[in-house]
Amino acid sequence: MLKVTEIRKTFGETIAVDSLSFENPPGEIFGLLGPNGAGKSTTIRMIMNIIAPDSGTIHFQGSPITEDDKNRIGYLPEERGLYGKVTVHDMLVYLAALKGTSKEDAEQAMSPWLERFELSAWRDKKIEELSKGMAQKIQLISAVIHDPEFVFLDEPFSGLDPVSTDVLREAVVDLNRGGKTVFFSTHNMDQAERVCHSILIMNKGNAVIQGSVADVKSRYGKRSVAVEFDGDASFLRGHPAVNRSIEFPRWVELELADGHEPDEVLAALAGRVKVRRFEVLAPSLHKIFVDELGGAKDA
Amino acid sequence: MRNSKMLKVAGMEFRLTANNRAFVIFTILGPFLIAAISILPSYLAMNSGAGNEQSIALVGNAALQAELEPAFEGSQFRVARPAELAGYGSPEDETTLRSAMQDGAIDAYIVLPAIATGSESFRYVTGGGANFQMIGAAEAIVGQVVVSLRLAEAGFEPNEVLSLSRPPGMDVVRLTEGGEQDADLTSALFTALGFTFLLYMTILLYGQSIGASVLREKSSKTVEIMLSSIRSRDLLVGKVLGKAAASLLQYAIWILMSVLFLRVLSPALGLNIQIAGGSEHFGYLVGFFLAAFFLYSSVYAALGASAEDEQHLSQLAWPVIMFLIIPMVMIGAITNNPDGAVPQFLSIFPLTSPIVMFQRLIIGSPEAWEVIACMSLLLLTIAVVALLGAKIFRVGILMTGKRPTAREILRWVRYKG
Repeated sequence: MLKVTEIRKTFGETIAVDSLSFENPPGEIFGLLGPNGAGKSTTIRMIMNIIAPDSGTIHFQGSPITEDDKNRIGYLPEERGLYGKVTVHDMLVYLAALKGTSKEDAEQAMSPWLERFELSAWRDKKIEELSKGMAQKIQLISAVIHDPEFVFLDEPFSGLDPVSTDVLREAVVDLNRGGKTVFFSTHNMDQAERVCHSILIMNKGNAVIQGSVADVKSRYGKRSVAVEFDGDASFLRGHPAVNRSIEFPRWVELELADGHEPDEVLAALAGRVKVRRFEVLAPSLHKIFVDELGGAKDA
Repeated sequence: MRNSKMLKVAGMEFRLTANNRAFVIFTILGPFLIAAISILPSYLAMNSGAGNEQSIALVGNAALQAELEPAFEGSQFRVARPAELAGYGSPEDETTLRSAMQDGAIDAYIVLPAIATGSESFRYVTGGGANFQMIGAAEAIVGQVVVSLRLAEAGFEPNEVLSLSRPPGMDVVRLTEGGEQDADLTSALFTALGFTFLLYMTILLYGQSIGASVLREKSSKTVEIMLSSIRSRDLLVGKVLGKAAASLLQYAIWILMSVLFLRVLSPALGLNIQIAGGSEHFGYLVGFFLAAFFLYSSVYAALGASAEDEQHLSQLAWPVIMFLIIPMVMIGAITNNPDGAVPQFLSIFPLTSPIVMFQRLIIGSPEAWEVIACMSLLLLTIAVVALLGAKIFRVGILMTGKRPTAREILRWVRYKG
């Protein structure tokens, strides 16, 4: 269990994190979301004991987090880098050793991971010979090779192609299934929605929204419909059931006004355009994020 | 656990430093390179002109010419005969001599005034650059002849007077802790020059290497994953210790090479090459290197952590390099008077003391209190600089995006945790 209470961090005049509190229950995947500059990385650095908060407390498994707790935590930072001149094997053994894991244990742990990512043939190759996607997978292995209870993943899928993203996402979900608590930071709402059990959305150092994904969606989500059609649907802009619309020549997404139902829109369309598809959309985290932070996002 | 992690970092840093081609090449070629850029220029300067005969002509005062010609015999000058210059015109005409000089028939000519004994100076006209060693030699020969003539004119016996007025030479003996010993000043000078350059180059190279290593860690984004396992201070100490171990390995190889060269190769080849002093100088060398290494490494690590790129690191390092350059610029003054006021100050001031005190220990005689003051101040400064450096390192290593100003860097020292 990770419990963060009222942490605050300033750099000179800049407030990076301001009175932030949350809990990451054991066995869950917790998403820390927010735009660039929201204070996510500073929060993670404070939890990882890389920098100290000016005030507030961070408890890990019931006690204030200490230097020794670092060995029980795996960390994949947003900014990634490994020593180019060192082999994959030596790099993983070295990073495992810094977590207090013996060479034998590290070698035993790395093999299944290398196999899973189809990197066994690269074990004795230098890091500089790997592609970006390969290096990112090696970095994920380095975060879990010491079998931590808790894994922090800061923007784990950024810069990856779709195939590598899927492979890594499956690995993250499997880590959680294997009993590890995962703390996951991203600004990609779709990823968070697919992976996380609960989330916290930050902006300008503060928590803006937090709770389970289902709870957040029901609390903040606005109902929408998507319509694919032939004809001119511009008349919908002034319709009382429509609060806001995103229009394309043959497709429109409509946010429903409070107290109105999708049927009213369907009825309005009938006879005026040829409807090819009509879908009631579940609110996405992405839309919630844009709605809640759209005007305020300049951090 | 903390120390074990620090040693793991030191081990990796040692490996990254020592296990590459540049390290091997510099280890093998380093002593030759340092000898080439430190001792060779001084050796050449001291021996330049020797063995190069110069052809000169004498013009004016025929009587004095007759006295001077035998005096120049056996020197590095050859006096051109009038017949050799006949093709250019009258040998008594300066225009003729200038044409001969332009053609390379003579290197210089001396104009002898009509009343030689009353003249305060003679004119030495040369076509090429000023070779001060040759001008000095010519001045000595002409001077001795003219002084002899003046003595004769005044009714003295020149040879007797010159013999009586010749000052005695000096056999220099240095008192050391091991007793009296002959001072081979040339060996001492070359030893001081060679070791000083070695010290300067290795401090500079290892300092820059630490700065670059920290910057690489920062810009390749490795640092954050490291800091998720180890404290920033332990990371810094581990890196510095790893580099120190690599540098000590290099020094050990160099000292071994030097001993083999001096004890085995040099006698076998019949070369008379000596290093002034004894094994204690190797001890001083390693001791002062380590002190300077820890001092400058701490500074460079802080600069590497503050810099955004290599160009920025070079700009930030300039003031630091200045303190390393001062002893090199002052090397002439220090070797001329190693126990003078300026060398004394520079051997106490911590940023220059490792190099200057080391020089003074080879060629000067610093007092015991000076050595103690030097070491005490140096250790104190290392402690303060390492502490400040670690604080700057801790904040700077995570700062990216914009180049910090000097004021901002100093402000980092006050940041919490």
